Amino acid sequence: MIFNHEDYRKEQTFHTDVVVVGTGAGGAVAGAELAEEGLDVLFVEEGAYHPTSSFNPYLTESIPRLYRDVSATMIHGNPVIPYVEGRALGGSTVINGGMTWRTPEKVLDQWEKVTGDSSLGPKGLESLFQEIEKSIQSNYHDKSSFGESNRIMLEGAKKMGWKVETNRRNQNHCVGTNSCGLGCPTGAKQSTLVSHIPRAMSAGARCLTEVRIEKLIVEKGRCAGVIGRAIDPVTRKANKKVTIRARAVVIACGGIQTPHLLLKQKPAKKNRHLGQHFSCHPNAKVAAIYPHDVRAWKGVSQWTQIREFHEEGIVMAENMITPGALAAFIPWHGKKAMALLERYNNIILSGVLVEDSTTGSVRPGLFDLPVAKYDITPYDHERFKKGARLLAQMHFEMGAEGVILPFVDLPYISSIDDLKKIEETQVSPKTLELFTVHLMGTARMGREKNESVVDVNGEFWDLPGCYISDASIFPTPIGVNPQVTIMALATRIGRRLAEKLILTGNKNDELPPGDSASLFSTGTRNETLSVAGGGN
Amino acid sequence: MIPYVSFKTGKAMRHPNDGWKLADPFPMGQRTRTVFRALIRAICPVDPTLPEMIDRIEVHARRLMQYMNPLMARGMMLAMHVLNWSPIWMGKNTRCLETLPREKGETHLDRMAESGNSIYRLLLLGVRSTILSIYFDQPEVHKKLNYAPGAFVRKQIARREMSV
Repeated sequence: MIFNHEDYRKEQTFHTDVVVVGTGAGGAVAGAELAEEGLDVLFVEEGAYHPTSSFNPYLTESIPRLYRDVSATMIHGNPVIPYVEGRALGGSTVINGGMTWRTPEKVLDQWEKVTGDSSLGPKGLESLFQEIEKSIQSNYHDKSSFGESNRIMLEGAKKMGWKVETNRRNQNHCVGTNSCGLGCPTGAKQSTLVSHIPRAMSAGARCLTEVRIEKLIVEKGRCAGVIGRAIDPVTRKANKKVTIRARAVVIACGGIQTPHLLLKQKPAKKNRHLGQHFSCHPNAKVAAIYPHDVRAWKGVSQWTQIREFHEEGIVMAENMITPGALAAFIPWHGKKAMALLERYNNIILSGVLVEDSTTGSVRPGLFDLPVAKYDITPYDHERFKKGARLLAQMHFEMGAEGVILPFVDLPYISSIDDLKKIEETQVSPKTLELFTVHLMGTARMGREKNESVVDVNGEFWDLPGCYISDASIFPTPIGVNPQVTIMALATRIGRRLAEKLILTGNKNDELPPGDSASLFSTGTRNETLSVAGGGN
Repeated sequence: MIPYVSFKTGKAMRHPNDGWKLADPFPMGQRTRTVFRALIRAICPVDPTLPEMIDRIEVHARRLMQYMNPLMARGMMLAMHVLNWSPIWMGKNTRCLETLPREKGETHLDRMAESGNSIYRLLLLGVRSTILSIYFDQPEVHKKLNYAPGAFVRKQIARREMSV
């Protein structure tokens, strides 16, 4: 059952075996594992339930439905980096590009060393990767889903003599609507909304949507539940108190929201690694204007990745966005913005992703606003310059008549000769325009309490009963899209937690007759999947 | 009780009929609204359809502000006033932006956008991105750009349904 704001009383308490906060790659997968082991699972999601049938290609309708704070979120530092996170049932998997890269072997070797646990090494995680890839239908694209921009990127990379790899993505018969970022309207992308959440629901899990968790319940040194408030979708006021008491709590809110929530709790604050080691795979845009129609909005997003420079931590790909989103990126307005956007059908948007060489931090700020800090290093700055220069060069070689660069004081160049201006003018990261979607490492996993936040089972060292299952537990940055890595770790955490809870007995036998029993009983496992309320 | 319908596809409509409503517009006093509308005029491209679009852009921007952290939404309102007075405090004009002719307002904001001072640019970033993202998502503007995503997506939904 899925509940929304109108289903909650002014104050309400639920009882369950496990409460999972967040329904993205980490939460939904761990929750599905727990539910399928027969445990009573209650998901809590801050966003609302938006089914596939509601997805549309219109930016301003989709952003408030699916994105946290309508994407008005940024990482402070030199330079400031805007970031996005999902806020809907399915979390960021509803709005991501759907790449299903495995964690690189060299990263897993390092994890094995850092954690002292061989099950986190390349061999240990192999079977989990296989399972996850099967469950989210990680496949190569059918050729009929390609568009002109896909072809140009591939041809361009070949012309430059670069190594290109086709992306495997979590899709079933993708037809290339290029709407991954606004929710897949065809149902092809296997986000957790259409993969793990239905699995968990079939096994009896329930889900509270439109509830923001604000506090953990700590009793006798253990985490015994969470307290949140339900948000009225029309007034946006958090006006109903929702308490969930559970045997275990799984936090899966992502690399920024997870430490933000935990750092507000007394027992958690004392861990000096919580909120530290923040990494974010920053990336920069390079948009090329071609003399002919490309219509990059038709065809799959990121069919290929240019991995020629992967050893240096540079990856390049194309990723078209809507005119509204493109307009928000460019440094112009008025007639200059229109002059560019009138050529929207001629534009290919591509980007340079740089693997982190440094870390930042996350801490709670005023008005419940998380403050993330991250400064790129001179080395990163050089790699961005190199990546942007190479990508621009490739576009010119393919016939582009102009390229928009990610530099405030050098936003546009019109010939290959202008590329030298990058070296001449770009002396400080201050003028670099970056963006990110991969947020990691702020509650890292490790073998010792004094060097990490969670143990190898995902349990918080400083708060037994509290588990973390998202990208914040990565011991190091991974250099690739993190979805599959999160899912593999979440499967492991879910299974180990299930094993532990089953061994320690069935909580439902011990449950006090709480007020949740009257309206929302726990005996819903065999009922038809349904949504209570149904909007307002 | 409504069935759980994650897999069912729809018609990719701009306002999907899924029972969910957009938030009420963020409360904004008359003074701030006047400033905001002046900024919309200066930031959006000149377009014969703009006058009738201004209301839509203002209301939708205020709806989006309801989803922001309150600190960000209030910061954006403050930024609107600071931008309005910027021709004066930057020493470029003796009049605030709302009283300048539209073209002069646009030129002034151009200067801020291209400035080497990152504070000027940041000040403009949130307001400009919000306004332009809404403007370039309007049906009239899509038509002008020869961009028709709805029809394309509906065609692809039908195509996929035949193949699955």
